[in-house]
Amino acid sequence: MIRFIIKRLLGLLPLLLGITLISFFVIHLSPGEPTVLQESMNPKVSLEVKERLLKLYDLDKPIYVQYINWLARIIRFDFGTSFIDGRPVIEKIARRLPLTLFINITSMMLIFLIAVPLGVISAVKKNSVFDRSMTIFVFIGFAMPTFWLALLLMDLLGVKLGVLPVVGLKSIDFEYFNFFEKIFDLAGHLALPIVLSAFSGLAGISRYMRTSMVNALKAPYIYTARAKGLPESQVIFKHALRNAVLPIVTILGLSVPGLIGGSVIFETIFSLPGMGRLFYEAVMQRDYSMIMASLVIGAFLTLIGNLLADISYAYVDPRIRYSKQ
Amino acid sequence: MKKVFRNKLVVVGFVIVFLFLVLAVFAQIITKYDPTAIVVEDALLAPSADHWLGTDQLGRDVFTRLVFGARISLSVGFIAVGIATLIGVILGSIAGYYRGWLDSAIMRFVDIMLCFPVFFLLLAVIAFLEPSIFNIMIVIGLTSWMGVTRLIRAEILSLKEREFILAEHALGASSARVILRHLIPNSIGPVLVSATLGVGAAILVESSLSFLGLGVQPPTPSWGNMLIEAKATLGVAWWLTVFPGVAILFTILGFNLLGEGLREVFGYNG
Repeated sequence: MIRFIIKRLLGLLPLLLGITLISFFVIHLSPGEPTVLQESMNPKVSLEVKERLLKLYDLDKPIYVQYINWLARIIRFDFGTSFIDGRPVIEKIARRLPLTLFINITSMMLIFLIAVPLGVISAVKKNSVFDRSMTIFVFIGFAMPTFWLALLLMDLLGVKLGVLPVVGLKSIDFEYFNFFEKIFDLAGHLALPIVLSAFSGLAGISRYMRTSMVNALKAPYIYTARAKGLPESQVIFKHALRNAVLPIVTILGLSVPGLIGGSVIFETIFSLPGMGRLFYEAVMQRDYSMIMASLVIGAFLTLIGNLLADISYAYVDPRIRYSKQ
Repeated sequence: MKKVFRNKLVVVGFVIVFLFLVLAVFAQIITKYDPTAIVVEDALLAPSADHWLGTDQLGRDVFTRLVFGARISLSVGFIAVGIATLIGVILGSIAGYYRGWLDSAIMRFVDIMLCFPVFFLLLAVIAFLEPSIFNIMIVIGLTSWMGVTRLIRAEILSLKEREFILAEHALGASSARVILRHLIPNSIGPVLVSATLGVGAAILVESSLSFLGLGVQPPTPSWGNMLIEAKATLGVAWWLTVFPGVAILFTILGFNLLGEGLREVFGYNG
């Protein structure tokens, strides 16, 4: 197992290098140097400030030197300082990241808890009324613009019925609440974003679960299990489900970039102080170093997600652990 | 062709897509209003015989704006997917046909691109460009070619070993001829499926970008930026929130049904 993990970690290195390379060039190939942007935002940028920026980003040196210097700095987690308030970028991201991770991890668990049973029932009762309505739900789920659904639910639950708060993370009088009221308040503010974020992944994952389960039920070991005279519930839950659920772990890992990308939309709509909104603000203000850092860290989180999925897959399935060594 | 239209999904999908296409193409004939003309005294009218889907805060006819918005969304969808498919077909067939280091390089590049949350990549690029319809199309195209590349590569890998391709080689055909005349035309089915599904996905991305204010810029109507205005009047005018969303939902649904239907017709799973 240790060997498997080490091997996978080493395999990440070229990907990490590629991620930094693409992030660097995406931003450098765009027209508009950071110094120009700074100037266009603030006409009073003095020559001195410009010089300092030039030095900071080595913009007077050849592009490969710039890249290597930048790489050397980000290895030490030094992503520079924000153009807006001069604070270290990594500090700002570190403060915003927990909320985004919390929302995404919770919604991933929600997806898993809902999609697996839905997929299993669809597969076991293939072509039943339930399965057919699930198919329709999946088609609608795939086509649903979730930011629109967010607006509809804000309108219905927040404005019309007034049962949920629609913006921000905390109520105004949050400071005066006791512990339980605080938890309850946070939960109320996060309920819609989490549910919506889960909805966007639900259709796909429940579909995968159905396919995976249908295939598992066709496997020879299922015939064996039935031939042994095992009750159907054991055949389904013990033999088929255990095998069918494995690929879903990988698929969930693959859905990480989509979820992180989606947090830009949800955090902006609901005014939540997470990394997605931080990135959105950086884009609106063209905060150069913040955008670069967010791109790298966003991709980095995806890699970690995939790695965790791989490791847990290998942990539960010895076939993977040994065949890849 | 007959076989294609015997599939239920294809028919339903095609009807929806065709309807939106007609609206988009004949926008000027269908409606008598101007999508950007401001008529202050008609602000926030509920749906009526005059204004089928009501009016917005500036008194503009919502139906008219939806119809003109269809033009924007569909053209962004088609052109972005065109770009992505072109890149995907070229890179995928090079990787699949020549194998070796070229293949490894291209596929690693795909792996790396797939690590990025697409929305982050899109926003990062758009931050440094002017958000215009033209730029949106290109940027969406440039960030969504990875799936097609993998698909084409896999198709070509399996086609390459088939007898008719081996025969072509034996007859002395050049690599270019084999790729262009035989391999690519024979993988057209899966490409068509993924392109159809891709149009829906691109429309969703465009509307999300426009909703965030980084896509199609007002006053040009797009389904996404119409919803920005809806957010500002939440709880006041339901028609501003409901109709643009329904348009997005049904357009994407149409393309997805069409795509899934074509997948069934071509008997290809992937």
